[in-house]
Amino acid sequence: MNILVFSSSKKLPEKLRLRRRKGVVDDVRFVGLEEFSAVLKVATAPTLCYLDISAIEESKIAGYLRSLKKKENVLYGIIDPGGKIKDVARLLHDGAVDCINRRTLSSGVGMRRLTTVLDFAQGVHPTVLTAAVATRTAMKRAAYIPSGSDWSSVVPGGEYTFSMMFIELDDKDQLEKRYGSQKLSAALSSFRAYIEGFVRRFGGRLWMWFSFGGIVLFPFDAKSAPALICGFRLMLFKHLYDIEGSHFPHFLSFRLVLQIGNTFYSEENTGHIVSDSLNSIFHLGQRFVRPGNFCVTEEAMQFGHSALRDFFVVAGTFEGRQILRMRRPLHQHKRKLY
Amino acid sequence: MKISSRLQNYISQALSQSMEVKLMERLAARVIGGYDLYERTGFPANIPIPQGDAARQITSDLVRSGNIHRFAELLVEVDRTGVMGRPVSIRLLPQIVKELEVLGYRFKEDQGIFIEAGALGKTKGWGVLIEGQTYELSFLRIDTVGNTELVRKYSRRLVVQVYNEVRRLFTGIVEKRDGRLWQWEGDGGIAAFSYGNKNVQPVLSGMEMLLELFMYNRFQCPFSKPLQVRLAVHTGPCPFYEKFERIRSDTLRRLEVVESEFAENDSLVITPGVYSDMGNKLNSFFESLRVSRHNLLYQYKLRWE
Repeated sequence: MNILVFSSSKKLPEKLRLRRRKGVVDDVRFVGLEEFSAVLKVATAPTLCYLDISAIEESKIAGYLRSLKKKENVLYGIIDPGGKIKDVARLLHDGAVDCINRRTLSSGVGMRRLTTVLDFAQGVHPTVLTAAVATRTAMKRAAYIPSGSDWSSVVPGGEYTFSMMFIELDDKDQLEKRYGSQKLSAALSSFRAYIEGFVRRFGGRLWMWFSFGGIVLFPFDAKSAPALICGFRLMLFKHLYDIEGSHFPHFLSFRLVLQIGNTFYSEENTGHIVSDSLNSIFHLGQRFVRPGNFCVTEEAMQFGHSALRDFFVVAGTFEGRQILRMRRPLHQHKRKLY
Repeated sequence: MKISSRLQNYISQALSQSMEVKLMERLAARVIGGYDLYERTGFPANIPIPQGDAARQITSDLVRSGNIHRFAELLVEVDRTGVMGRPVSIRLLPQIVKELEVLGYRFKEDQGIFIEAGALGKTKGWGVLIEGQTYELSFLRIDTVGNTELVRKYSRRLVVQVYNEVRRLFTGIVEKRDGRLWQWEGDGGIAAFSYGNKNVQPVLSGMEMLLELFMYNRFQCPFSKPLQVRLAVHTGPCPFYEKFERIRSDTLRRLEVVESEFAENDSLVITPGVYSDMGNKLNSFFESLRVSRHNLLYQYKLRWE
């Protein structure tokens, strides 16, 4: 959980006495009120925002609170040393999780209060996604072995948790019939190179490749999953690849799946690896996902960037997991060319 | 463009050692319209021109006309495909290519053209266009929607920061496709395209810009509402001047009208001359817009299921 304090007061950091603590607070930042919108907009990780309203005109406070309330993955509290909030209970009913008045501020807000606030948030607003709590729950559930934010700590032979991406071209049989083995092989190689280059920009490695698709691994640090953005961009920009890069004369269609899963990492003989996560991602990709779609497990979505959440809809349940599907970008106005 | 004497020497030798005078003249005429070797050299029409003299004359005329790299492209093409079904092997071709690379060009194998490599900086004219001459070019224009409101609503620092980011995005997308940013004025600009498929490249750049802006709005844009743009592509003759203000062009005027009057927010509009070059695959992204009884434009817009 990150703590973000919006305030014009320079003395506030000293009074609040908030600091980083492993497992509870990842980061504490103090930001001026003039940057409220800009900073709030790009806040991605689960965040508890405190808004110091002492320098805000009373008529404008409601607007600030609306912005905080609307933002996904954000819990918010108020710092009100001037006693501007007359009805604190109503503030809490409207979604705030804390209100710090002059007296509380003078005695300091420490980690104990913060823990109480987080527990309160989870108890009173169970529908509000406190992703930090969700992350902790998920970590307990899946027993993650985070592979880190990059590949530096991944050693062959070790077991790690990765963001796993399955990718496979649709209409395999048709492709073989239509192009013949030689042309098809050249076109598939170019598709593979495209995928390899694309995922590399997001720290992904093409780990396994079969003729028509494969598995990409992204290091996973149990905090975020940039692989979601990678998959999203693959789908969004696919048509440009179809025109500029693809060796296939028609528009390609492929399926993508993203999940969080554990596997032993190996750089050779990847075909011999036995892993429940690998099995499940293949099942999901081959049995559940419909052609031309990108599906994500709910667990992976929790770690993805919240700005993309609106572009996914529930697709159903598979092997006990809720699966979300990316809404498809509609670029074309005419029938597809085949 | 400064041409080294070594390159001139190579081209002159390549011509004299690889072909007859008639073919040299024919190739020169493909680069310099109406080229007449007898007129240039002053030889009487009844006397054959020696190969060495012909090659030297052609080379110096090519240098003067600023078309030496175009002629080098032609030599590569002739070496690959021959002339009228007859194979012609061009001597010293690797040396010519290498010498052009030393001068800051790179050879694009897929398109068979030399283009400014960019290592020595990218110029508006690709290091090739000549000041004051008119060329057939294609243009992509971008304009931010609601600039006045944005300037009123947000601090100058924030607005400038966002516009700089948009410019950086736009320039990257355009230059990736060998386009050049000809003008940028605060909230929008114009890019020119001359090489490769000069109509397809600005269209793809415009489409990519819309998609990148979609991502930018989701992840980076500090404004409370998504930043919107309008884009348009048009093609036609246009004089080239390093200073954009000196350019007077109906093509650019038409481009501005198309963008400002007919492009919807977050859309790319292209004119019929551009559309006709798109090919079936790319055509399918555009829907027609009837803007008057006789005039059609074509529009691309990202929509979601």
